Amino acid sequence: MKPFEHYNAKTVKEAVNLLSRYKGNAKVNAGGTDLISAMKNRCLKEYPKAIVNIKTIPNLNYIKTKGKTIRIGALTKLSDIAESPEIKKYCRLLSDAARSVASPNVRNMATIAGNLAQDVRCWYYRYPHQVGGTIKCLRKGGELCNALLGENRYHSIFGAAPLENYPCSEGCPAHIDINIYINEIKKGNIDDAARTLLKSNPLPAITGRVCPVFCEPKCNRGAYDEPVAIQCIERTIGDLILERYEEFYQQPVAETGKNVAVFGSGPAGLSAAFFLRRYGHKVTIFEKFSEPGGMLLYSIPPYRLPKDIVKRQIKALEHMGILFKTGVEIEKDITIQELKKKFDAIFIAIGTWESIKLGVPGEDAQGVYYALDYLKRINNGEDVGIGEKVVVIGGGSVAIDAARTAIRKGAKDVHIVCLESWDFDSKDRMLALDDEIIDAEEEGIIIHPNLGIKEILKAEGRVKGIQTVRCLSVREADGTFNPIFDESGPSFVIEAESILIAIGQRTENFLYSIFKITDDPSVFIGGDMETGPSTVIQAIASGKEKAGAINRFLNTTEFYKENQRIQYFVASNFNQLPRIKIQKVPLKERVSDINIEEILSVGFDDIQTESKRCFNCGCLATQPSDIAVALIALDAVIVTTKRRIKAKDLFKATATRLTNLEYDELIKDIIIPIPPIESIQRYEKFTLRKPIDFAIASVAGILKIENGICKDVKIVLGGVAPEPICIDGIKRDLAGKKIDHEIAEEISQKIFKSAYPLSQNAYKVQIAKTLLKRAIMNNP
Amino acid sequence: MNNKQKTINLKINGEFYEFEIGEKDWQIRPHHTLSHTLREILNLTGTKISCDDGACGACTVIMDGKAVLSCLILTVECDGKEITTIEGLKDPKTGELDLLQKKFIEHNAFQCGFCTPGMIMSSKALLEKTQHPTEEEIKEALSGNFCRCISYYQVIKAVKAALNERR
Repeated sequence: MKPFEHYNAKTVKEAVNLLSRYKGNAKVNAGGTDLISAMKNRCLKEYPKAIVNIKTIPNLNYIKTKGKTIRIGALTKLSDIAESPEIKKYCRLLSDAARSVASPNVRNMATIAGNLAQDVRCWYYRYPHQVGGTIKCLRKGGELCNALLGENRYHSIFGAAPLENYPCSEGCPAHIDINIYINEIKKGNIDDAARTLLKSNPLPAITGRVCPVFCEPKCNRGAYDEPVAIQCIERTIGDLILERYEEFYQQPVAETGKNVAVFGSGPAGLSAAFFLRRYGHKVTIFEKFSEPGGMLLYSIPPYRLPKDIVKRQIKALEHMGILFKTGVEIEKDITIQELKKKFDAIFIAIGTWESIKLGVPGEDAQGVYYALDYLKRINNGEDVGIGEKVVVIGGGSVAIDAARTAIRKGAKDVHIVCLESWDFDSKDRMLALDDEIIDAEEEGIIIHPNLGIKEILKAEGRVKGIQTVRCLSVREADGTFNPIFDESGPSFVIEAESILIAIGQRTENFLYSIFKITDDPSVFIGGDMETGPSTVIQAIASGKEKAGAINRFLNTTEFYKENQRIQYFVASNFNQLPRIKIQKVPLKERVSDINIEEILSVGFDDIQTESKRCFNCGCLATQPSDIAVALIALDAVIVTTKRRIKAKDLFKATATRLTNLEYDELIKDIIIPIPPIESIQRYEKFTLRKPIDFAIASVAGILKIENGICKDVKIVLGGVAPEPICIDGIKRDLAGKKIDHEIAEEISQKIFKSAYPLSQNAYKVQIAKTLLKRAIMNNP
Repeated sequence: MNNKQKTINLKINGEFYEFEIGEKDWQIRPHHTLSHTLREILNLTGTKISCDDGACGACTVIMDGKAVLSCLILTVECDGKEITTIEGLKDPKTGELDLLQKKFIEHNAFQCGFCTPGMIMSSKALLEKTQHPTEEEIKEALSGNFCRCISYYQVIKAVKAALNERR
């Protein structure tokens, strides 16, 4: 063991003071084998600086019967509990549970509180440091539970304890609760999945199509085979949400009476409006174009995002009670000062609509267009004659969109010229996504990487082509844009009838004055306007964040509750399934019409199969305490230095902790209501080597049976999940029924239908089922 | 708040000991286990260390009348405790072995003998506590003491023999 400070606490107060003084760097020694063993094996994530021995605190070692309750002191030894005549008489299952713990000599040292607060006995977690170094499992800062793909015969069959932060959700700028909605799809609860998704992403049908997917590269499954096709799943659910928008986009339950103006109806504006409306505020969106949607409608071409989807999305938001006013331009048609008189807060997210100029000779030639204007006009239904030979300048998504739009509009010979490198891994790579580049090339677009523009050549005022210059480097090591050209090197000409410039965009010049008013507390700015050109999901995230800020500013009490992370464990699963193949419309067909959506939709069956590929990353270690299972069955109350808590509420596992005890919180007392004397109590535990092993499965049950008819029942399973499983519905299913083999079988089938055994522990299902049936039948 | 103890007092096999706590060679360090102190400081090497993890029972000693595992107890938590090890069973004056020890020898209740001190200490604690333990109770009391030579049958015979003679 490494050295540490040691304290023999004389009082509870002294122990608590010490623990708070060490701020989580001290551990409590309450006897037993847990702590000293972990210290010897050096397997803890952090070695404690101090050990506080609490066994020296007097008066916490007692078993008292008082009226209809039994009270047990936190430091009562398990051997005393196992042998206590009172406990044997009134709480048989607790004495049996205590006797089932380890060996008699361990029970002489171990206390009831120590047993309740013990850490997991997972062999990855406890792998001795001396034997080749600590295994960095999920509990110790690793990314994936080793039991998921490794040896897992003793692990959970009911899923994993949830992480504080999931990598997929962390990767997403909007922190969509991906793991939660995918888990619902797994279970076949499509509607619940839809509601969960909509809580954190107001526009899923849109991001399901045009998101650069920040989540999938973070997916832990990627290290195993391929990431879960999250976007594909999102799109199908998103389409369902739009189809049944009246059901999903509902008016808020209560109105706050506050009135917010949103300027700009792109993704940031729509997102902010959605969340503000959910908070209960009245929301009006102003849009300068004739139709709402912003970049979604006017910049992203319909083969990626059909106009119909955007329109239905707007309709859905209107259904929530959001008002849209189009054809209103900020500062021109209405000033911010005027708006302030009518609204309690203003959110401005008008994007970046001004294209950046190339700044080379010839840019004024006829036939030079800015890609964004070109896309806007095409998306507005105009016909823009750009001829057959087109050069697009730029290496980002807008450049690719413009080139692919030109192909669909009849251009025969489309070239993209960009400073950046074609190599996806280079620091100078094109900013467009891999798939966009691949698709563009597939459609016959020729990409000329590493080229700058010296001059736009013209003849009689019209574009003739471009004079290029080799670009040696685009960005500095830290990512700063600083292109270096080989001025003396070879330079060649690419001929063109038209040129589309897509080298970036910014907020229109005359609107820069808006930024000056940001010190006005009722005016908020967000989206691309604030960050510069980004992505749809980043704009959504910005809108969501600003909606929260506006809501705080408005300081209303009517509060839409933020999505709470489920505290229950999630179904972890590992299936050998290949990633879904995303189907595209055949090349010839899709380039023939700009309105043909390139990627095909996927049905519910397919996304359910795909959702089963989700690992649902979490810790698969099981709760090892026998006493916990018994106390939950007995409806015990646990008294700590901070609160009184029902036993079932104390054991809420996360991937880092088994109980919700705080670091400076001690269990003091346990209060057990004495069950009716005629009730049948049972604690049974299955282990391989009785004296030393922890439960493979265990069951604690209390039944009240009169004339063979079940009057009352409570059953808790141990050893099968990160928490003891209290079978909630069993009373409903069993009360009033005759206890026989058939009903026992029926109930155990029902309960274990929701089990998700891992690759090597399906046998535990059988054992736990048998224990459960024996408990119901009260068989020896 | 200075609640760190500087010394600890132990009564081991009838003798009183006072140890200093600290980081010097002759002092007890906070991370020393009781089995370490018994063996390395007091040279009471009858107490064995096998798994050193609370699973095998080889390190069993009797503390305040109860059989406990000395490998998972820190010496610094034992202030004021009375401890008996295998060395403390014989008569301190005559050197005569304890009845249980004699019966273990008579019944060949060991082969390599490594688990024997633990077996005897667990049995001793049982016999002190229970007047007439049943065979089931003997097996239960010894269920945390492992023997790789499978001496269990002879061990139970030896414990029963000691019980008979005590009557």
